Amino acid sequence: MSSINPIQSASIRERAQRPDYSAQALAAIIRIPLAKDPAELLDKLMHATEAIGASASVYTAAIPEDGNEPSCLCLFACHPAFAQEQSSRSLLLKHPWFRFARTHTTPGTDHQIHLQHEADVAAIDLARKYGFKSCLIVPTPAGANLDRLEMLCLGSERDDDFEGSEARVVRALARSLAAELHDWLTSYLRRQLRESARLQERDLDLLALEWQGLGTKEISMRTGMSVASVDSRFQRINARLKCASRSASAKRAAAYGLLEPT
Amino acid sequence: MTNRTDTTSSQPRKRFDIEDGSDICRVRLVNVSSGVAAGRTRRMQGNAYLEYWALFMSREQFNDCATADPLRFSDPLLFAQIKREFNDVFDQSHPVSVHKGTGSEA
Repeated sequence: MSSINPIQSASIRERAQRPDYSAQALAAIIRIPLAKDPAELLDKLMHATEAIGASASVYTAAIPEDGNEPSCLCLFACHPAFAQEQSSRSLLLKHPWFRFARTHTTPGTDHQIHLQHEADVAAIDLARKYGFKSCLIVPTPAGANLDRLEMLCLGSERDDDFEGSEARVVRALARSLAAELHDWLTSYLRRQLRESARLQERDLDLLALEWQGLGTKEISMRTGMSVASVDSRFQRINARLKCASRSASAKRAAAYGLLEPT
Repeated sequence: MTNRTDTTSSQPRKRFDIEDGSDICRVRLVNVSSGVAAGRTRRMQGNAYLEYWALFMSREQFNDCATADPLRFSDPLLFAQIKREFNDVFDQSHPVSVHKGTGSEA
């Protein structure tokens, strides 16, 4: 079995013309926020992928950290052997799908991917074995203050299944699914970091001001804290966020959605 | 196409958290409505980590992947533990299909 829909009796384009198609797909998509953890999120992504009629899907997020390498979360709603083989070859962040997501803001299909190296060809060949003969890549560019990149890739066992006018509804549903995944991840990361770093409201206020580019004196004036208090508070925040500087702490907090108004 | 029902939230959940001795690798196994979700987290430099999740819908899928898992040689103790825990979690997800006999069943 190479995909979650091994007997893809109808193409996605054919399924998209059924009267109840969108309603069923949306019913699965709106369950995404109910996931309590990544395991449940993967389960719900699997259901949504099936409801859309895709053979497989992959969701990946790159979260900037205080260093060269970002953190990376990958959910493989497909045959697990693909997760294993892909992960043993290279990070999904180096995959041509993710390169597409990094350079585009709107969805695109496999026809729009430029293969630059032999490794790209091998990566696409591997994906084709596991339910991605054709695919739709949905980039999720984060907001202005959220330096994060996410990608949803839906696959089909059939060639050209995401092309043509029938695919418009599929693209709309895929974007909706990607947006729900983004919202879930933002909420999850925010909760995780806030709990692990034991940050208080005051800490978040200081990080938000730092993220706006304010210096110590301005932060002191805005918060009513002394300059020394601001500095020492930032030292504690840096230690808790495991960052080398206050700007790195602010960047990390922003990437994890902690500085978004709730 | 096989249609499955999303009933995760109403199921009793069984999970295992396994870490290697150096706290570099963490494996989680959670039963969900589609099967067993397996998560692996690897610490990278600084705060960075790599976390990926895959879904095993059958024991065969897991066994196939296990034979190609690098942990089999790099950390055989952790590998053996993961195999045992997977079977426990999977059995809870699919109580009807539990077979722990001698292999002589019809």
